[in-house]
Amino acid sequence: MKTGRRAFVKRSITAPLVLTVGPALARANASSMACLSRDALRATQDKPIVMVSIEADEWMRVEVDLVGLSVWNGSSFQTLPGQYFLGVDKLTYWLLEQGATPNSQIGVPTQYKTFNATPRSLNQRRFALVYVDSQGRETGYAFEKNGGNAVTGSCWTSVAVRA
Amino acid sequence: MRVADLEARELEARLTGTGLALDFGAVRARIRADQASLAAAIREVYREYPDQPSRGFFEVNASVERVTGIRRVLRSQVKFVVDGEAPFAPFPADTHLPLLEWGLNWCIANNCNQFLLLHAGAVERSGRAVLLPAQPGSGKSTLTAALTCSGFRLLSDEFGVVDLNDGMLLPLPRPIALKNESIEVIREFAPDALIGPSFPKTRKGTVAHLAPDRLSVDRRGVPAHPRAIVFPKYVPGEPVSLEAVSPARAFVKLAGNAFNYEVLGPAAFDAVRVVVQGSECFRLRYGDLHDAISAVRRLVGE
Amino acid sequence: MPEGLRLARFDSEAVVFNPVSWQTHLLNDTAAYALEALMSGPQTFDDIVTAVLGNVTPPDHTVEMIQSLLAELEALGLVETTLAKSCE
Repeated sequence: MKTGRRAFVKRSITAPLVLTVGPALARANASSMACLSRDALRATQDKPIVMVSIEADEWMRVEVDLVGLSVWNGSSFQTLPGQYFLGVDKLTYWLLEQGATPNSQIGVPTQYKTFNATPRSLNQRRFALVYVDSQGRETGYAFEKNGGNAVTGSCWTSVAVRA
Repeated sequence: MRVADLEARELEARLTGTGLALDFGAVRARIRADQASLAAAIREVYREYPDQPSRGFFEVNASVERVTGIRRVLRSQVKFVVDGEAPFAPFPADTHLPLLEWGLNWCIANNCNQFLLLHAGAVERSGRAVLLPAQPGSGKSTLTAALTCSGFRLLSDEFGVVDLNDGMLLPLPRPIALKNESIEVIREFAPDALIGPSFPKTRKGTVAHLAPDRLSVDRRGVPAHPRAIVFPKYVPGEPVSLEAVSPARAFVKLAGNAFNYEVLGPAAFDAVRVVVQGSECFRLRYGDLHDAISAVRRLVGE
Repeated sequence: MPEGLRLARFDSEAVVFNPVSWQTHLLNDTAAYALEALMSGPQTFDDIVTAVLGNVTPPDHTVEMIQSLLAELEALGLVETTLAKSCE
């Protein structure tokens, strides 16, 4: 059964994004907040978007798998330096780079996509915070070193739970 | 008769015997305590609560008890006990009220899955409830406290309790935990406000509790329509501003910051949808409490 | 489409409850159009592209974009792909 066409509205198409609401969202924010704003600004410099402001609470928590990438240079596969991860558009590979503070890392978008690069798993998963702007485009990533963790920052968990 | 009307010895006897019944509205608790100083602090911060029989059903049965044994010789400690178990590491004995309050929060958050529990303050005025989701740096508790000292009814500081049947907010007024500088901020803002004793050595720094006012306690059985979701952000020196937040983002923030969203699944999704669809959603940046309160007043039509 | 799938549309985004995983997902406009099309019944790939694009000129890599999206929706358990029977 075909759907009826939606109203003809002039607009642009952005890459589809599907993000998962994570239970530890706020708690992760609490632990990563210090490095977010600067890293977010740096991560979005390559994007043709005017960022009026980046509210740290606009970030969403995701888990990414780190991969190495190889590309075909016409005669052989060439391994690219660095660690990469697939963005939430499930199309674009991002490069993991050092952030503005010693304990932070950021993602930088690359020209490598699922159709022009070959991934190999590095068997590492990382927690990251991804910023998605109001147009529904992913525009920045921030990471904690060593994978990050869900830290409880809420006042009601000030009691330490017995092991 | 209210808790404040109980003689000190009567209250102590209740707390060491059958327990003190506290009707928070959406949740009833029965608490026990074996320290006279804790009894005195409870009498202050729960002063407006009606004195009720300690028989019947209570969602929470908890106590704060002295730790006995060799540790007691070295440093006096207390433990939080719920349903016969002590799930937390002990606290120094001179931080008993914060332990009780945080312990009660833990009990509610873990057990009251008949409601959707948002991590948010909630106040009401003119029949319109405002949710103030908790986020780091928001100053949520200070703002909630100031609003309740400015004519807003306190629904809750810690839990936005959502009725799964109809999306209404259910009151759960309890003492508001103020931390560090916020204590003096509220003392200055509302000199007549009843703030309990200060506890300087907690994990969160110095903590004191603002007692809920009589009106909020007396109306704890009256639900409220959520009409606004306001994400506060305190920035010193910042002029007040209200910026619209997209409903989808508000949904995600509420869901991702709720205590039991994942537990309730589809019922929680439906409840958050009702709340968001019925509310205007904003981000409130402010550097001055009075300005923030004026902005929230405008949202409820004043 | 799993039974119990819930979608709430808010302007240019949507929030979806996944009854398979009990997770909640935020979808941007593009992803939401695709899922809404599928919620109305089985669709061909071309149907979905049409539902997503409307009257907009297809951007570069549209096919890859939609394929990635469908693969992700399928991995999440929100949709499933069946091979169409050949028609003589």
